[in-house]
Amino acid sequence: MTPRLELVGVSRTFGVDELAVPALRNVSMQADEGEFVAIMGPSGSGKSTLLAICGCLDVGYSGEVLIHPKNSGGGRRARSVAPMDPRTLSMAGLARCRRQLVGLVFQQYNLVPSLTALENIALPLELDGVPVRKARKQAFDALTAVDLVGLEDRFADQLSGGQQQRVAIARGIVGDRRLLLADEPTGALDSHTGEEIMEVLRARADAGTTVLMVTHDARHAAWADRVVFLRDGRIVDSAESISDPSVLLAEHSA
Amino acid sequence: MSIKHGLLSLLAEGENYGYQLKQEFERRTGSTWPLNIGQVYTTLDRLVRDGLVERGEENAEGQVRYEITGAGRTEVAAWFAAPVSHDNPPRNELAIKLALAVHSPGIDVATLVQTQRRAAMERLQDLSSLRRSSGDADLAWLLVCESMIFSVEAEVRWLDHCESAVAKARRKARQRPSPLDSAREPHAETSRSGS
Amino acid sequence: MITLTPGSRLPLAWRIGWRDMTRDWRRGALVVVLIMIPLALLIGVVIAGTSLQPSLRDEVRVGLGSAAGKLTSVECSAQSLRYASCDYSGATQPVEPATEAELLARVPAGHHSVVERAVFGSFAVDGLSYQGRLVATDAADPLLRGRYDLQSGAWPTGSEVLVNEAVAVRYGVAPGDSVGLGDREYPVSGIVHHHPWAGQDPTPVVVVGPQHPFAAELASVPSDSYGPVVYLDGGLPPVSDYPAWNADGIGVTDRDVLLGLDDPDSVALGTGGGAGVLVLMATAAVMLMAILVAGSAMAIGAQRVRRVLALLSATGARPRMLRTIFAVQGLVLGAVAAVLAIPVAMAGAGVFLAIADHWQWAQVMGFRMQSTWGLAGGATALLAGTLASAVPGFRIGAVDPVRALSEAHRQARLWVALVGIGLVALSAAAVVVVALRVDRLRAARALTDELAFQHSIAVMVAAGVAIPGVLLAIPLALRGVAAVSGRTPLVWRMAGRDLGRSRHRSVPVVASVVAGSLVAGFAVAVAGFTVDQQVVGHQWRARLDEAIVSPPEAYGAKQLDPDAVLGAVAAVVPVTEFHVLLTPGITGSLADGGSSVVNLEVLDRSCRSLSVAVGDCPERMWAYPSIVIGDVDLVPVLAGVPATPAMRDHLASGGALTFSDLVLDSRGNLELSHSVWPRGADTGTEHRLGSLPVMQVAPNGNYGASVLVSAETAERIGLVTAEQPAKPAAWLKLSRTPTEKEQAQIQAAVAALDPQVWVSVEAGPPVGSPIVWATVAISGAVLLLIVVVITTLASGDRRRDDALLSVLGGGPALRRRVAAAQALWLGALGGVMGVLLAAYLTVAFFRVYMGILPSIPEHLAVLIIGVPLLAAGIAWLTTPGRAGLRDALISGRPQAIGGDG
Repeated sequence: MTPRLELVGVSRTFGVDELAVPALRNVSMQADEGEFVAIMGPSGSGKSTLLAICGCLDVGYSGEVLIHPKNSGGGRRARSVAPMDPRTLSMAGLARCRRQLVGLVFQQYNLVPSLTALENIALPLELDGVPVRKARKQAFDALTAVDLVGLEDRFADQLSGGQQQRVAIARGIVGDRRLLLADEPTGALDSHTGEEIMEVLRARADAGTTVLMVTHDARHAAWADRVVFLRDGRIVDSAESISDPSVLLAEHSA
Repeated sequence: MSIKHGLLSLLAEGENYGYQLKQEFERRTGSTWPLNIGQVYTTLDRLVRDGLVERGEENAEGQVRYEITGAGRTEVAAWFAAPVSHDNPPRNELAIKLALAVHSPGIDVATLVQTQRRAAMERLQDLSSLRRSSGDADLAWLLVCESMIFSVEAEVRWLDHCESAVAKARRKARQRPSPLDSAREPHAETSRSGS
Repeated sequence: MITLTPGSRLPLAWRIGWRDMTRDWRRGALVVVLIMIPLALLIGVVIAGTSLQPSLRDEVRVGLGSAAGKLTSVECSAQSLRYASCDYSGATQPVEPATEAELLARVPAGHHSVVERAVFGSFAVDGLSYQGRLVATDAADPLLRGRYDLQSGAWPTGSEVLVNEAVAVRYGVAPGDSVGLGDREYPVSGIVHHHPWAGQDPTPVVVVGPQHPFAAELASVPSDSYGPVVYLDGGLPPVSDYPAWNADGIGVTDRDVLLGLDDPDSVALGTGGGAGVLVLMATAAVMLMAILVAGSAMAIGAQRVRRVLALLSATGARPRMLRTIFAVQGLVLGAVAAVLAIPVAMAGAGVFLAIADHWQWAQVMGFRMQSTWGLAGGATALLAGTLASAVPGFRIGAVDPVRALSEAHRQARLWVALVGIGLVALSAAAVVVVALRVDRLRAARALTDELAFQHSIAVMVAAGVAIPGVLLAIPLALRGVAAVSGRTPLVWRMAGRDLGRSRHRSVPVVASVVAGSLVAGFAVAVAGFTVDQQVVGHQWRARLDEAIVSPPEAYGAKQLDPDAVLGAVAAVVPVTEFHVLLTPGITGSLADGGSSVVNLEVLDRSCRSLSVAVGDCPERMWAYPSIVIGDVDLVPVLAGVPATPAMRDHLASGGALTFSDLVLDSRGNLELSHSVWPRGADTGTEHRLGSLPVMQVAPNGNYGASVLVSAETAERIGLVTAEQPAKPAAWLKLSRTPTEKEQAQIQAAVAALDPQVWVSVEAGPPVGSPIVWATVAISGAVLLLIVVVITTLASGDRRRDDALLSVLGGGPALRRRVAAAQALWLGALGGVMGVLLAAYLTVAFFRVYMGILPSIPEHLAVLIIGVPLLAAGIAWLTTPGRAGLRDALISGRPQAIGGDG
């Protein structure tokens, strides 16, 4: 499997001297194409910091972060094929990274209230200068992928929580972006809607998007291919499913 | 685990043979709890002895047909109506293990917790993918599957709780007593004893 | 950080309101400033305005000094009796003015008196001649203390003279310099504080002593308006004797009588009702602006407490308590603003008055500050503060906690906007009704000052109803903006839709800009109109850049030498064209003061005077002589149209060219007759000169003379005789508009040739007094301040949206564009609405008050264009570059990156 995201010895400390708080200590991990990784850990373990770093929002880290753009040469927008480290980017470069490479999904949806669902999904493309008609078309594809057809002209306050989160997910994947970072995406949803969101994320992962999800809900984490445990800024363990139900059944005999 | 009420409820739907009962039971519960045929016949005998089931005739292959009695139906109805009691919880090996580890010197509780949690997580992943891959299955089966998912989740959450409780206790033990504590010595005694 | 904490005994709402305010003291300070500035402006203007108005006591001090009273000479000529009432009512017989001797004879024995004689004449400084008031009196006499007060230097002795502050400031005269009177120069011994009349603009005055060489010359100049004045220290007749004294030509002014007429210290704010109405309107507009702007500041900040309020409401707080929270803040902030506004206003007005007095822009009566204004100002500030608090609190009572917490936006209620539009329509209808009523009264000549004042107030109230109407319609306008933005590019879409959906923020901001534009626009419109009126009302002496030197009036005086005049004027300003205009020799003033005139029939239409063709006809440029004797080549000069052969023939055949049909009689003939009027007589001897065939020449615009005849014709009908040949007047066209100094130089140069000669230089209408421009500047500054404050506040409120855009990869340029687009919309909406309202108010007021439709100055367009651009620019500049990133919402909570996990 080709890697999509790599972290090598990443550390991040906030503050200086006596007030220094190490949020991440020497974290190394890798996420492949189409892999669904869940990150679990108690409050203060560095989960959000990790996501911020991977999402081109925080460049105050040491170590190496590599984001591999999609390697096929079909994109019409000029993109470098080589993996890039956000720390090497300028402010404008980081903004471009957030528009073209990574998608961010938050607990609070964070849709722009003055735009319709379709316009929200198209926003990263429009920010990138893609012509409106083409952006709308791509946005519509993403909208279909998250199963929101029929709601494209609604505003945020006319959508339910689950629908808003799906818009946010569509916004994160529009424009053929293959790295989706989700911070507690089901935190504000009831369990049933939360399951729906997990289905959407799972479907995206199966379709080739790398999904990195921070959560404290074990059942939702279980949807992932791999669960990484973060404690005090370090990765202490990771769980990977065997995907063989017969083993489970054997356990219950006797 | 007693399968008495399970067999009774199956017989309430209609008379049946012992082997078929075993198959039906397993089918209904997704083979989660496979039955020993001997166990089945033993249970049936006990049911006959208690007057809840009647023995019928033997067929050509030598299988005995069993039929539920009126008392048996009453028993089934009562079983469904009453909640499953938890008076005698089965021995929770994990809880015992942790309870002993907390006060054993030389045992790293944190590592123990993490090991168990990883295992639980992996099982949860498996159950989760199992559940996902059987989307159109019988509702009864789905509920059973989900009950296992929820109980594993409960275990994971309990492990989280243990971890933070142990960490908190350790922190408290390491704390230096403040000057105020010494001043309030008599009260501190009372509060500690009271908590 | 303010750490005052009131005791916990105060009700909960007060505590919350107080703590929220002290914690956010910057916002509180801003609200205080926003209320204080307009209030201070208003109070300052009132102080300055009333400080320029004379009270009775001021009039007595300026007019009588320390004297108990004065005696003046009054007259009521037969002519005045016939055509106008005499100053002192009840005169039925012509009255001869008393002489100085007769006045002095009336001074009771044992009483001290001082004589003052004054004329309007010219004096010279540094060789330049200026017009002013020349007074001969013993200014040092104690009776005149208060009327003449020595400011610097010493009282004059011998041939020394005094000048007043106006002369000193304007022409740079100091004690020790010299001033020219008549033919000689006299040293200036000192500078006096002196104004001829209270409340009048400062006039240059030169004072000589009664024994001064020039005093005799002064006495010899006949002047009707400034007869001798005798100041007494007592012994004045009782009021009942006044009619008898008036009949003798003596007017009496008694200090005690004057002071007893009314409250001696009260000051009417402005003359007539017009200024009062304007002040009322200004008050209302300014306070409205303060309320809206301060309310905006409170409303925008209230966003931060909206969730808290929603929580309070959810836990059972009553709406009244929530409103109280804001009302508390409004009251306290209003009180602070009131306390600050008064000293600021006093300081500002004091500075302004000091400057005005120093530069002699106006006659400053004193610094007047009535405590009632302080109280009124304070009450207004409290009211403003409380009402400002109502802006964010307006919908507080209706806060639905669930919706507030879920940030759902509701669409604007249409019916509210419809009510607003209805109010505007109602206002327009009311204004029309009042205007028609006033027109009817005016046509019936039944419009008294009192009625005019009442109707002015009524029309302003009627027009003012449109203001809340427009404000209520703002949400509808915002909705329109949002709808229009649907199909526009991303930046405009986001900006426009956000405006429509976040009404709680946009509406107060637009309202503030409306209020500010209204005040500024109104000031600009009134100023522009005033200047316009000065232009329109300007009596054109001649066309622009023309100079006309009229021949000496007196019979038998030396004739003007036109070439010498040309040389004298050309030495100051180059002359491009020069003509000699010959005037009838038989006209002039007689030795005994009477006059000899040629009568032209002027029908009493727009011109009032009947027999003399110099009158109030605005189309005729009055520096030109009314009858000109000359050739047809003068037609372009007189009428602005080219001469034609037909005109030449007509002149040659003995006819007259006329440029106005007013000089023709009812049958269309030009009848010329000659009258001699002895001084003061009501009839003169008249004999007919003849009737001339007329050719009417339609002038191009204004015209000079009314009649042009050839020299032969003039001689034939007797306009010129051998003894009284034609008198030449000089007409010059200057190459450019002369400055004031150059005008004075021209006057001096011509006066040097012949002091009896009258020079008119047309330099065009004045461009407006400093006070007008000061008003405009101040209102512009106020508007600027509002725009800056509001746009900064509004764009500061965008922080959360900006953070989101930044996280999604939109750079600072995008955020700036969105902020600028929003500010542009807000400024455009508010600016257009405010300016339209201002134009509406101006038109309504002046239409009713003066009966004319004022022209709306194009400077208002500057406001409409400038305000949005300025707002957009400020929003662009104040959008922070990195803030979006710092507030990145990783966990959906506004915090620093990595703050919690």
